Amino acid sequence: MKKGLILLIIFFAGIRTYAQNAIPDSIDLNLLNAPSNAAFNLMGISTNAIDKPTDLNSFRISIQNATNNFTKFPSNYAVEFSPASLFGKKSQTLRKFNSTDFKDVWWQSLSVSFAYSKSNKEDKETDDSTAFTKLGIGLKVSLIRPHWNANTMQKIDSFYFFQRKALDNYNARVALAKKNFDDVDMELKKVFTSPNSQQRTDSIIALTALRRNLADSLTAAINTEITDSPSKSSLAIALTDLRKYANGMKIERKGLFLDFAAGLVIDFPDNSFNYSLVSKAGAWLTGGYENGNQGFSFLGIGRYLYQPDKIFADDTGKISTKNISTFDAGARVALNAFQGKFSLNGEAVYRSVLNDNVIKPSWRFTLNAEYSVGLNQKITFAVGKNFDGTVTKSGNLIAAINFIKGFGSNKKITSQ
Amino acid sequence: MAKTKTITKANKLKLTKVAQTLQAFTARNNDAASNANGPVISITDIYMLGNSGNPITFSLEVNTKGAGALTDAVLHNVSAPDKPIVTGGQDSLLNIPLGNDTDLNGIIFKVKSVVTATTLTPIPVALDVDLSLMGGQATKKFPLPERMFNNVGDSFILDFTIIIFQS
Repeated sequence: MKKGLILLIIFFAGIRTYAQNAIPDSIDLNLLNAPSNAAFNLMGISTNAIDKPTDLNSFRISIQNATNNFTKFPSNYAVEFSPASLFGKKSQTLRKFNSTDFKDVWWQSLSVSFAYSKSNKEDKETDDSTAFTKLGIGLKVSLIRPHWNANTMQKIDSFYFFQRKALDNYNARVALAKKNFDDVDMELKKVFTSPNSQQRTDSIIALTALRRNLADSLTAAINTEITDSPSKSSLAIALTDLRKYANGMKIERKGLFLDFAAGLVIDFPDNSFNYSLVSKAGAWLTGGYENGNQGFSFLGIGRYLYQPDKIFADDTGKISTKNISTFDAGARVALNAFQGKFSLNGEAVYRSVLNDNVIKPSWRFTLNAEYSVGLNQKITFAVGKNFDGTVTKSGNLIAAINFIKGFGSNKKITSQ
Repeated sequence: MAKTKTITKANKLKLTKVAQTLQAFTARNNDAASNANGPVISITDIYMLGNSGNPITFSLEVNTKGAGALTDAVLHNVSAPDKPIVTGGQDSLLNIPLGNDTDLNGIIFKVKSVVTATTLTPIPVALDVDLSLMGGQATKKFPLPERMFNNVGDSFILDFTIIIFQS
């Protein structure tokens, strides 16, 4: 028994050591993702350097900051915005995000990106004489978007139920002050029945002002109750419940989808508008079948790149990318089960250089399995065949103690 | 034919008394009134009819991206039960009829709405809701004070009271 236990400890210790030393770097499944925004992807700008204004006012402030209060051109500036949020505000309420009408979908999902930087030929940001201006422009849009799945629909209904509770609690609180409002309303009613005259209008306006004062005072009193004594106010409790529920509300969709992203980078080598050239360009078409957190999902992607940083099919990176165009096509099948705890992904990517016959098209296959054993604790395993023909396989264990717990044997192990 | 009343001296005295009572109430709540950043926002205003027989409609447009709203709207008459116009209306409500302007003189229109930022809302973002009334003397919007959603799940309770009358 003791010998078996020691062997078990050695076994798990071995796995843990392996996990720390052998984190796989060639089997990740991110090759098929379209960029969150094409301009930044092509210019190599990190996502945390991007301003994301949510309304016209924050857009104005972000431009003002970047230009040092409009006194100079920004040296580096990246902004991503949704035109629907800034200019066309309709059709953006919660239920509208379940719409599959093209006129709603493309407008809601359209995201535009601009990036402006001063960098050298190697794309390194610098202020010296080798730096020149680069401008990146990109867009991303959904062409086909699936409906919310049944689980999400249920959650949305519950969300409105929590709102109903908050509104009912508010009505109950306001009803306590009903008598004060009724007094004013009775006076209003008397004035309403008098013949039209300037005096009548003035009286209505005066009574409206009194009613406003009353309402403002009541509102201030309720707000104070909510902020100062949240545990005693049933309205505050209802609003807290609503907040918690809305926070955990995850939107999942089920059905066919198709997204398009495109972008280009324009260089101004002598910092003049008279001389510019397109240094990079790309277009991504991503589509498939989304199945929420359960069952099979299918994903396919077609990607065209003009003068990319590196030709993906050329692992050595020795071939010049000048005037080179590449095309990648890929597919992924994902199986999600046990409420999203288990996932199995298979991916295949085809890579080719369109206008150069030096490099032959190549393939890559990857299979990845993942099981979540607790919060932020996953066991993963991957196996694949890379472009150069090598076969890779790898396992990865995060938080070994929870892996042990998963087998129900942690008590014995920790007590030794 | 509607019964009409003139404003008598006695009525004026009553009005003054009500005004004094309300002012005293307001003074008592001065401390509370300084708390203007809570989740409840109340708007009290007037809307003038044109006596044209036009249909009067209202719209409540929720413009904050991804926000969900639940709204009740009633026509309030002091001496009669409230007439529900919308109960549990979700998100934006567009061109909802209230009645003809000749029938709405002396009616108090009440709209109460809970607006909540969801995981689809880009945080932080401004509360952006427009209530408008149409069909009377002019289309009128009732603007809200500037407020921000700083977290997913933040809510505002909007309480509109619009006094509709013929001038």
